[in-house]
Amino acid sequence: MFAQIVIGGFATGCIYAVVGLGFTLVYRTLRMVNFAQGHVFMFGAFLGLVIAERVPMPAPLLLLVVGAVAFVVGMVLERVVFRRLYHNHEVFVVGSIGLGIVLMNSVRVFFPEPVPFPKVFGSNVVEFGTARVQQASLWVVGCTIALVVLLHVMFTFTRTGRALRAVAADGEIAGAVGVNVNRAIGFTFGLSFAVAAIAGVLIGPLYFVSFDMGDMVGLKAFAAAVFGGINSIPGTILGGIVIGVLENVAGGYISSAYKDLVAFVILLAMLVWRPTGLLGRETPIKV
Amino acid sequence: MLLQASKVSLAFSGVRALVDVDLEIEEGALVGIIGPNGSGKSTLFNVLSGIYRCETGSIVFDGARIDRLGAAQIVQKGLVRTFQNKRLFTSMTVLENAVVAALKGKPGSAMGDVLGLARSRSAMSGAWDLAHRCLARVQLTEWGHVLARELPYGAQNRLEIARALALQPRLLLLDEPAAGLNPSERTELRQLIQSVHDEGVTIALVEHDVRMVTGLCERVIALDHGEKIADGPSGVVIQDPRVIAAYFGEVDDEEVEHARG
Amino acid sequence: MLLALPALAPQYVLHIANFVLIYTLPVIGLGFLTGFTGRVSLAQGALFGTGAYTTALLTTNFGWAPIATLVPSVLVTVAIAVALGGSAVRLAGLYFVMATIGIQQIVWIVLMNWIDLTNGPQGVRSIPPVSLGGYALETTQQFYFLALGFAVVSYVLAKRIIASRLGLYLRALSDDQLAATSVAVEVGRAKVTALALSAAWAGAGGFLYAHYVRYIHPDMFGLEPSVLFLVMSMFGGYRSIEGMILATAVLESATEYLRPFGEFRMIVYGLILLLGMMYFPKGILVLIQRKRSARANTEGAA
Repeated sequence: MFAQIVIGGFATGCIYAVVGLGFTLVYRTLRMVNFAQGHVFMFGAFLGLVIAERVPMPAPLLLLVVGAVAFVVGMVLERVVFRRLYHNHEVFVVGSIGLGIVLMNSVRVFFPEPVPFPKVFGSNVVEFGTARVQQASLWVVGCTIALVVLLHVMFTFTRTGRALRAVAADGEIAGAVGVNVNRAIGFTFGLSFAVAAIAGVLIGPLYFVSFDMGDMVGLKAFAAAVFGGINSIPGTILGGIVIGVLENVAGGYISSAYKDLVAFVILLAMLVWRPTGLLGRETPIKV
Repeated sequence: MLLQASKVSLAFSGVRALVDVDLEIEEGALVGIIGPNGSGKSTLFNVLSGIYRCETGSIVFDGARIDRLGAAQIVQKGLVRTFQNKRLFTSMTVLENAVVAALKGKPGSAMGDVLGLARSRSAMSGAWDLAHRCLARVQLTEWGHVLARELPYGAQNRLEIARALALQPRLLLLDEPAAGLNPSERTELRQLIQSVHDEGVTIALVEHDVRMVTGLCERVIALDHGEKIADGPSGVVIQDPRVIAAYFGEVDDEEVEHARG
Repeated sequence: MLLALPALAPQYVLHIANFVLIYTLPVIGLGFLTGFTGRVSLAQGALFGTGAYTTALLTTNFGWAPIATLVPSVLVTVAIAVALGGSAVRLAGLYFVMATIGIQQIVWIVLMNWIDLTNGPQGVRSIPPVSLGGYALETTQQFYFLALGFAVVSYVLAKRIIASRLGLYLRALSDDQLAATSVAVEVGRAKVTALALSAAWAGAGGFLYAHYVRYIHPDMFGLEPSVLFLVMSMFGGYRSIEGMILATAVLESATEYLRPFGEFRMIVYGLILLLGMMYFPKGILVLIQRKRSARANTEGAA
């Protein structure tokens, strides 16, 4: 029973981690938080739903297509919308929340009720000792690992990745040495949208999808990023998994009603104790 | 001895900003502090005023140790500093900038202000009076209702000083008050500093304008790379070869003659 | 003119006016934090809710007279805000916003799940109206006067607080916190006071709200009203109480008139938020002021 809960939590945690990555990527480059992120996750789920129902394709291809579309959408939105919000934190926060509301309710027009997602990852149940785990959950974990590895490779070995890291470290200097900062920022948004959308497709088969699924997940992914360190990629991954597992354990053993509380208590406690998170490096601006 | 700093040291990520600095300032003195950029002058002021905490050493002001106190508490005790890059309250008017400072130590409370209680009301009007007087000292009276961010540069300088005066300092640390001023403004500044000193305020002045320092200060302290390298009468210190070397690098006698001339 | 409104205006306009008056309380409260302390809070909706729930529970479960619950509602809200947020006010702006999200969610989740106390998603029904001297203020017209009274008092009080030394301290620390410390402003205390004030105003607003709508449930106090209040507070121009009141009136009326459009209403609302932040980040009133001074300049030149 315990193993079941932990593994289930691990899978949810991976979702928080991946969506949280979107927050982290944008924060590292811009020092801003994009609160539409949760709704991008939802959008990805519905995009995957619509595509999977019309054009049957193997799961990896579906993930790729959704990711690519979301990537483009992210880049376009950065150019058209986000770029006009960089004035200060408050404006960016409220503006991105507005964007999220538009996204959520636009989907709501077409899908007012929760809908089931096609079982693109198969319906088998795998047994690990006493734990019974859905195949789809294994896909979640597997894809998360793949994504993390891919991102790591990109950041470490490709020119684009190094450019992104340069912009994250210091945009002015990066620009001075020839990095196209605007394109790098657009790329970052594209990436953050892509990972969130992919997470949406990953979670789809495990539950129903509904227009408001992005709200809570977005907020908890945010808590995960802050907990692990909002400017640290490994920190966010760690944060997501820890919150996912703790949440499930609390839900299983203490009370299922309050399991949502876990993420936010951790968020608040971490901010008060160590705002840069477990693995964050920046000096906290606390006076 | 109004201020006594002993063996004050501070390092930032390996860079030694202050190294075993000893500093004594008597009540009523007007001391100059000179040194090339990066020598630790501003850091010293930051440590004295409580913005940074020194790693070793102690600082005693008016008989009490202040090196572990916060900046607001140190100001309460009468140790006031100005900032090199003027830190004014940009969205507030000139008068309001001064009033915030003038409220230091005054009785009453915000609640008293809201309810219109007598003690708070008289304290507030006292603060406004003090603010007006300090602005008059620096010739900023006509600018009273102008927003601080719209002031011309020289006026911003004067506001910084007016605000410091409104805190009724016993020891005033002036951090490069002449930076960016034209010669006539510098003369006015010199007169202002002299008159403030004449009223009994102890002053420590960090300045690049060596002529102003020697004109005002009998005693000068020189810093280089975080260490105190000279401390004595101004005429002697500025001719100290170590001081000259600090400013110009290693020099030979001929260049020293040229610099003095 | 405001006093004559109940005689002149149709019922539904008065109904909207009542909401506008109620909402000016949490909005002005938030203004203490946004305009004057330079802090964004997304917890105001939850704090509004604690005020509402405190009065609702005291009156329905314990039979208190509504008037008697005003002070407890405010105190409970302030206590919760300071307990959860007191340590967070010292954080830099962005981290503080994050903390308030945590506070908002925690309070909302508790309201939703502590069934024994709050009745959970069912909410609290049959909240009595406020009575003054045995005379119940339950119709829209009667409530209008109560709400107007609250709004006027809250406005006057807020203006006086801003004119007090606390107002000076808060503006100073939001301009330059280091400089404020260097002129002996006790920055930490001022920030917590601002937080407490914002909570007090939210709690009082919640009290009014509960006794108007007479049925409350947790979904009324989630992130959405927090965002709404924040927008009203920001759209008014960051330090203008009058601007905030105007923005509240405009945005609330707009929200109500869009109600028949269902989901499209929310899309429009989101677009207003988004476009507003993109093109008017400094608020409506600043825009009006700029237009006025531009006109004055051209007139002066002519």
